[in-house]
Amino acid sequence: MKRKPQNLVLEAGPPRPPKQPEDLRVIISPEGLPLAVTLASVSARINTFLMDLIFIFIGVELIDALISFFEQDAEDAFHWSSLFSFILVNLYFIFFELAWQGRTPGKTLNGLRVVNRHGGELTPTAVVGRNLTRMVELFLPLQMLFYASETFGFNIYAVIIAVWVSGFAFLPYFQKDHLRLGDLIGGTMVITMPKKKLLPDLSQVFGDSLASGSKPLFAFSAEQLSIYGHQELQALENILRVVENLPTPKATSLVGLKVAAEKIRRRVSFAPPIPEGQELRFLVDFYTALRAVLEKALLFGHYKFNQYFDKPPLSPPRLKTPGSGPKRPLPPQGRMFIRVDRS
Amino acid sequence: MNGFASPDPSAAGWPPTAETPRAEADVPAGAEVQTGSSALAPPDLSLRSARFRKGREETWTRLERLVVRLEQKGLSSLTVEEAMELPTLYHSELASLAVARSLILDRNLLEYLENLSLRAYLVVYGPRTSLWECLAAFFKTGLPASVRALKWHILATGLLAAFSVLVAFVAVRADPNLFAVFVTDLDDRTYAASAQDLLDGLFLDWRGVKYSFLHFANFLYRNNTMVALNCFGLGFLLGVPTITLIIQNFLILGAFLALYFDKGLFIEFVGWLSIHGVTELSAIVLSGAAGLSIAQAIVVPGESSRLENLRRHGRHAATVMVGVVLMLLAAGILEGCFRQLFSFTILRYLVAIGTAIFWTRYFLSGRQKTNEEADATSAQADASDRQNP
Repeated sequence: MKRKPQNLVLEAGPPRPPKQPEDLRVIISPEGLPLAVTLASVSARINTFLMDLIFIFIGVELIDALISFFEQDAEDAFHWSSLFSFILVNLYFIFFELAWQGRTPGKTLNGLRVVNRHGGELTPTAVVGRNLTRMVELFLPLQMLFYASETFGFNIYAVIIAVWVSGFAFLPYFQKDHLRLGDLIGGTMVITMPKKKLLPDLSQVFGDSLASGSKPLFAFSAEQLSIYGHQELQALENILRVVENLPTPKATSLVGLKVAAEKIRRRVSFAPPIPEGQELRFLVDFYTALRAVLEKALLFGHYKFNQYFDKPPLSPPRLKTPGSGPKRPLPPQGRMFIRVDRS
Repeated sequence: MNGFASPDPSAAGWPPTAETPRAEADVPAGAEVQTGSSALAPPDLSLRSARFRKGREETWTRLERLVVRLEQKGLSSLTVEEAMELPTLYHSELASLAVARSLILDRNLLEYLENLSLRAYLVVYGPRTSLWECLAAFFKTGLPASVRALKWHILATGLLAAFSVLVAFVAVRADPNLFAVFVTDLDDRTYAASAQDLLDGLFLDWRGVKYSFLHFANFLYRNNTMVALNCFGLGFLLGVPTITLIIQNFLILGAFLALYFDKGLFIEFVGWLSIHGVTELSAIVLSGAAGLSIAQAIVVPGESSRLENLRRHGRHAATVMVGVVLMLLAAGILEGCFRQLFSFTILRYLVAIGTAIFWTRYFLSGRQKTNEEADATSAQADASDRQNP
């Protein structure tokens, strides 16, 4: 039986085959467990770099201020500060990435981190190597543009060289792993790793804000729970997580909750209307019941992606280790996917 | 009918646990339970994920606390017990993740476990050598071995440099007008200058420690380092700019040699140049060689891919470049201070020969030992670089 997509809140848009996420990579831990890592986006990296530049700028200004405090002679002060600024600019990234295990202040603030592309240790050579190229990536093109500017008379060669050289800076846009020139040399990549908190279980969290405590009020039949899949469960989880953070009176009277509950009620053909103010209760009960049923099905090897597809998205591509011989198939992951027969 | 998740009475409540009653049994008598269908077939509602989480949550939070401390303060902040506990916690965390991936549909829980596993993995398999060990290894074996690994590139760059010097020397001697072609930013040192002026230029007065170190050596060091870093980094442009930079710089050198040769000041000029030139020019040649090795990894990748090649060549090139930066520091001090301090040509030659012997011996040091060991260590480094062949 082919279901027609209806006007639903918990639907994943028109049916189309699930897409593979583009920025996911897998490193295999020495224990043999594949660990998913998310590549940092180019914009996040630019953002981070600008923040680090600001920190460097502040550092240079501080050095200037300190030196002018101790050194009265203007020319000497200039030379002192030029020396220390040079050291700061060139050692900032190397120092922090060595001392903080692949993180600079900017990266720490943005949750980015430099790791070995092959999953091994981040060696000092790799850190130094990836930071030696900043000169040609950024400062050389800027210098060339500066020479090409009006001050030095318009110099067509400088413009050509600047354009040619600045191609480096755009490498991450074209490289599929968003690798910078320095990453190529260092054998590194930059991943994003925002810290995740363990939130309370949704099936228990609403105990206080609901009239009936943690006891369910609505019961669903097996058929009603067999419609939605994994994706809709997560969409529902997202809704409930938003509600979770709201104060109690506001949470129970949310309009969106009413809409969501009503759509689910119709979609699963739940006959009795939902009493006023009980929408959150309905959603929590439905979420708990759906999760229980889907998890049990998972135990028996049945996986349901969403209401249209049984197949999950493809697992993320494994990081290739170039030159390491013939490609091996992906190691079996924890989950076995079995297509459900439809009659 | 969708055959998915049909309630199976025989499997209900599996695994059978007494302390987790089924959800519908939780409803107290008298509470109104609304049902949506007339034929009520209540499915098993015990949440496996909740039970799973209950038993393991404490382990996770303990691991998380350790990981946060390690991320912030490093390995030395752990007590012995904690350090011994870490691998156990890490392994049980990975086991949790493996189970969770196949059983759990609580996304927040899954994401938390994925995140914590990755963080713990990066900490547990993080760098284990201290800064001092790294530095010692770098100076003792790393730098000389990497320089030797680039020996063919160094030879090629050296030959190119020598050839450029020769060409400029011969050309300028044949036609002094060509001097201005090679040396673009002209100062007083031209064919128009008298021999006495040129000689005076070679033996300038000592202008005090502060000027020598702070003004002159500092400027020379920054300038040379920028040139060397460009020389290296532009290897990415297939090595063309690297070669151009080398040729250009050594043509200037050849032109000056010709100038002083024609004025009869060759011995003095070579002394003036070589006191720092031995160090500085070899550093420039080394940076050119590093750039060429990068270019080679792109142009002639050989058996492995370009990416992998860059990583391999990059390791040696980066090590050599750190050496280059340090050599340029030495050269800057020699040029900024000692050249003015030693205003006798014979002294300058002695220093030049001394530095030449020092660098040669240093770069050739530890060779017998490392010939076999270097292979072993580089294989080891390779292996530790990619633990997942």
